[in-house]
Amino acid sequence: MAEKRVLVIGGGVAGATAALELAEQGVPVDLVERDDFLGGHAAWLACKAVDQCLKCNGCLSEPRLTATAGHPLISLHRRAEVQSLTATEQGYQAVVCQRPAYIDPERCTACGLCLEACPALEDGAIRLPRLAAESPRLAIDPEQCLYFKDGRSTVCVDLCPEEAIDFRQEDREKALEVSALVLATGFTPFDPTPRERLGYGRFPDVVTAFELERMLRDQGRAIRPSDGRPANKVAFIQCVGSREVAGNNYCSRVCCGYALRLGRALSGRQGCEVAVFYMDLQSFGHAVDDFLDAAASELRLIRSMPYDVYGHHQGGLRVDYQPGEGQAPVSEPFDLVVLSVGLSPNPANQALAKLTGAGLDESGFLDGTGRDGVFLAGTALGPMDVAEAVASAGRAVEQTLGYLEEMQP
Amino acid sequence: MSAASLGVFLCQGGRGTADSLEFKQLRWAAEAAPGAVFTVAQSCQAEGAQAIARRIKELGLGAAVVGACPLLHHPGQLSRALAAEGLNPDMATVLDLCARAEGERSGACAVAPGAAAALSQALSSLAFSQELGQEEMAVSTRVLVLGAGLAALMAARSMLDAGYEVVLLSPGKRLTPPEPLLGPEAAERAGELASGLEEASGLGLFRQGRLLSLGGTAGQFTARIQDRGGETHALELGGVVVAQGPPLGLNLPPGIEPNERVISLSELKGLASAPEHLKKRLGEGPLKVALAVGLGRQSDPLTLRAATLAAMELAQDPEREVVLFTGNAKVAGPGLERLTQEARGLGVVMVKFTSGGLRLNAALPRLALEWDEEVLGRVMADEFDLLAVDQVPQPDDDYRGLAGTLGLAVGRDGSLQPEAISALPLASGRGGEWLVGPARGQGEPMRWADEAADAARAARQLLGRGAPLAETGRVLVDRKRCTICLTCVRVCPQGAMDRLFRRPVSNPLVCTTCGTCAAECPMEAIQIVGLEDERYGQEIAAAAGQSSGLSPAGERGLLVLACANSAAPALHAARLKGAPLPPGARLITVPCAGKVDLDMVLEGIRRGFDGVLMLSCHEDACQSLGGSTWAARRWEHLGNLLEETGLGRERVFRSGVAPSQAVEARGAIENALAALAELGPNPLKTGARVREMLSRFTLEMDDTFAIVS
Ligand SMILES: Cc1cc2nc3c(=O)[nH]c(=O)nc-3n(C[C@H](O)[C@H](O)[C@H](O)COP(=O)(O)OP(=O)(O)OC[C@H]3O[C@@H](n4cnc5c(N)ncnc54)[C@H](O)[C@@H]3O)c2cc1C
Ligand code: SF4
Ligand code: SF4
Ligand code: SF4
Repeated sequence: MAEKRVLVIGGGVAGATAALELAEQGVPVDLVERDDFLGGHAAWLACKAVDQCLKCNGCLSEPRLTATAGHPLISLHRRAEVQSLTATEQGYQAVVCQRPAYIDPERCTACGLCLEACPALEDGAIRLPRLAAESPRLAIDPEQCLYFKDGRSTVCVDLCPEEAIDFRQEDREKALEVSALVLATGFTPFDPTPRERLGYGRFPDVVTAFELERMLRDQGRAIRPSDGRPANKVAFIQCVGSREVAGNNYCSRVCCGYALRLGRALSGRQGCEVAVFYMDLQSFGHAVDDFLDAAASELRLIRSMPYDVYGHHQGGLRVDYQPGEGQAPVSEPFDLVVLSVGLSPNPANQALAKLTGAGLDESGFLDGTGRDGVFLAGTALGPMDVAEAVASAGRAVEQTLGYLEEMQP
Repeated sequence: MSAASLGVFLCQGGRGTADSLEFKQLRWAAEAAPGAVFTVAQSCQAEGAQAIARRIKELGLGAAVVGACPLLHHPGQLSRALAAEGLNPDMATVLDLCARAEGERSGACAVAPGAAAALSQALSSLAFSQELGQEEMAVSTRVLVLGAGLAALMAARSMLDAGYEVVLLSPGKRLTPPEPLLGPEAAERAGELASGLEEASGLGLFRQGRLLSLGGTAGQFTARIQDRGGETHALELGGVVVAQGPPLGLNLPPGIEPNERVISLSELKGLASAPEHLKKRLGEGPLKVALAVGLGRQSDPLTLRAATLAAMELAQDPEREVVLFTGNAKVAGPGLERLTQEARGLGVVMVKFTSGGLRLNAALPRLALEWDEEVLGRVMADEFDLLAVDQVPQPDDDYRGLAGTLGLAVGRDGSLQPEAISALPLASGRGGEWLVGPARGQGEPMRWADEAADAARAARQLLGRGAPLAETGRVLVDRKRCTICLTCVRVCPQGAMDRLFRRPVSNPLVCTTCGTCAAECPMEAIQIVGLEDERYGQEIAAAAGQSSGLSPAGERGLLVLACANSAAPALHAARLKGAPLPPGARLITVPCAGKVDLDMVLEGIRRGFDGVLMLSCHEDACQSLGGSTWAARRWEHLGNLLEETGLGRERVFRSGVAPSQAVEARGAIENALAALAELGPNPLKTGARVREMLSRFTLEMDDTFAIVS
């Protein structure tokens, strides 16, 4: 092997930053991303500024992801996962399995005819990227596409004027020879469906904060999904899927910060009346006192965890909570209830740990150890925000460079 | 670039738009500029891109402009085709001139409204683009690390490991001053690091040293350091890591004073680990101890961990009653939620006070504390033998002095980091100075290792192995005009401007070509190659349809000055989502709002635009750290000027967007257009009144100028 390559697994902001900084140091990188597109969760975050930036970190990822997408030293393997990792003389051989694109990027002109015709578009059968720099612009999700369900629909294949769609493509395996690897496989937003009392999945106007981020990013304002009307009164419920003795028994670190900022954005931009139900506000760091004072003046901060969220027969949602011990319970109407879901460990962590020799901590995150030449970055290690993920990627890069320098041929 | 070597390729679309009037106008606009014009079919396809590349090669063209749809903007296609022909993959500029949007039916290939003006605009600006050579810069590979304790030691270690010579300047005698909050493991780690460093080659150490001055710019700093004997040393430095935070002070609310029963958490940690001291201090028998974090200012996970551990240690003695008061329990550290549960299990009582905090009833001899219990919703009171509170950074004059020497400002809570979010994670307002750990105003050792290593990575990026390549000669200072007022040195958000032989010179290693210096220079002595005032003058004329003889008749004419870091990507994303620039708006991309000066806006109005909109990053989110702040100030001034001339400030608009805000960026343009529709056309378009009004303005400027000179 003439040159030392590095494998980066995970193309979220941590993995992309690691790949980019390695490439900037002249190290060629294979970036393996499971999804159709780069960016991970950070690429969905909305800007929360109200004239003035509220310091949500949301825009830290964009320039890094854009530079990653176009870097000549980075080979991107989208829709791909590492199957096996075998030690070799120079480091590792990684066998990567790549799902087919079904759309030929050389032919597709993103004309959108398929988008118009797809009967399963609503379900997400055809996906579009977050990032302007991303190419190709379309991806078919075999989980949702009707063709893969029962062979029924081939509308797009027949319609595509460029004959760019081909469902017969199959998985491909590639072997990558690398000297070291950076594991940046991130987190999974907590799925609140099992917390039935919170009404998620039963009432369309109960959404996760992640869904609200996407809504703000795509439409610029918060609406009630049930009828498309603007949401005027919004409740945030904190710690959903965090700080649970019997579940994720840790604080997710970022949800107070994002919820207060989202709340301030809704209040400042749309004039929403916002209530935040919380246990403890975690914001800390730079100018936190000013930030919390401003939040307290713009939002209703209520230290109480609601115990019931339900639809009212006259429309809208009700949130039941007890303002304080010994006080009468309150049932308050809201248009939109936002669940501030926490950061759960990636369900693939166990498999990844086995693959790379990494250890798992008591909560199921990777603990930072691993086989020789395996380094970790980002929320794979535990909850952190985007800025922290970027710094941790910087550290993984330093570790990797140091390792490569030491392993002289 | 010689004019003959330019090729303009116009995509006529898949369904033959070549006969339309709009396409002809496009051709005319192209032909008005020097260069050969070609029509191509389906440039969005690989075959189309290959055809363009072949043609460029055949004719030996030096540069190319491709007018196409946004699909060609996708990385790869054209670059790959150019590379396959052995050409520079970046030699072609791709322009979005198509009305078709992604996700729209494919039949609708059509020339966008205003495409001809956009093309002539691009052609006029292309004439200014200039490749500058890269040169090796001689830089020092020595890095100064300021501070002592875990964060500083980590930074020094990382820099050494990355191959840099390190000078560690510790304000005190010890490299490992007591940091009781960090706990024994961290102390051990600090000890290891310190002894490792003391033996390391490549480390220079100044204990009780003082930084007297730091001149120069990144890669070529010159520092004067005073050692403990009072002797002064001059050093050349490539970079500086600041890992030193402000001194800490008790986090007490007004009304509670420190005394022998009101002590710091650090002091308590010392007492708790040595029971005899505790007994000596408080006497034998049962004890009631209160710990409180976040009483004055908000606390953080590091402090809560330390307080919880101290409380658990105290609570081991069944004679002691221990209450831990928290405002917001900052449990957002690894394992901390579990730790607090464990503490409760050991009998530590955890109480959350509300915004009223803890109050001291001074009338009683013992420590009588009162607080509003939030969960119970009433006032509670109890008496204690001891109260231990956390500490928070409280910058003093010494620290402010140090910050001043470093060329940085001390923020509201002692952080040295600029307000702009893009400084995260560790940039300061002076290129080549990185902030780690306590210098960022937050104390969390779990992040310090990341930050220290990331600083080493940043040093590699900046300094390389001592001879980084940099493009020189981008920022030009006209010696005849420059009066050495040093405005540019003051305003540069990167600290890139320095005086060399008394003349301002920009350091290309850290200059982002934001243009703030050029816009702020009162003598107009600074030009940035490729981004000259003249270029924008011509581009504005072209955008107004005036260089190609096309007039924007019937259109309202909004000139949009869009920051390349935020607004331009946002508008590009909007375009891809099917929302092109609305008719009547013309886009000019600037490197940063910092480059937008009054002349540019006035030129737009003089050229007949009905209004001008500046789209920048949000306040405090400027990618070049401070450009948009300066632009905002100028905007105020601009408004006043326009009021004076009688044009009114209503015709100029300013809005902030993030790169992800496609909807908002479009919305800002639409709002401005709607406002202009109300206002009616630019009165300057109607001739004489214009000149009269402008002459008033010019006269005033001349008067001012006369006084100045
Ligand atoms: C609702 C919500 C709001 C938030 N708001 C903010 C905010 O305002 N500010 C802020 O700073 N932070 C916020 N965060 C946190 C932020 O999203 C994370 O800090 C950031 O996304 C972490 O990036 P990452 O790269 O570590 O992980 P991820 O974003 O999870 O990226 C991991 C990547 O790895 C890929 N991957 C996973 N497994 C594999 C595998 N086996 N093989 C290959 N690829 C794989 C994934 O597809 C993904 O692309 C928020 C989080 C949530 C849930
Ligand atoms: S609010 Fe967030 S996304 Fe918007 S500018 Fe500030 S940091 Fe960036
Ligand atoms: S950050 Fe806030 S909302 Fe999230 S788990 Fe922690 S305390 Fe709960
Ligand atoms: S262009 Fe910007 S970064 Fe460069 S010297 Fe001028 S003000 Fe500084």
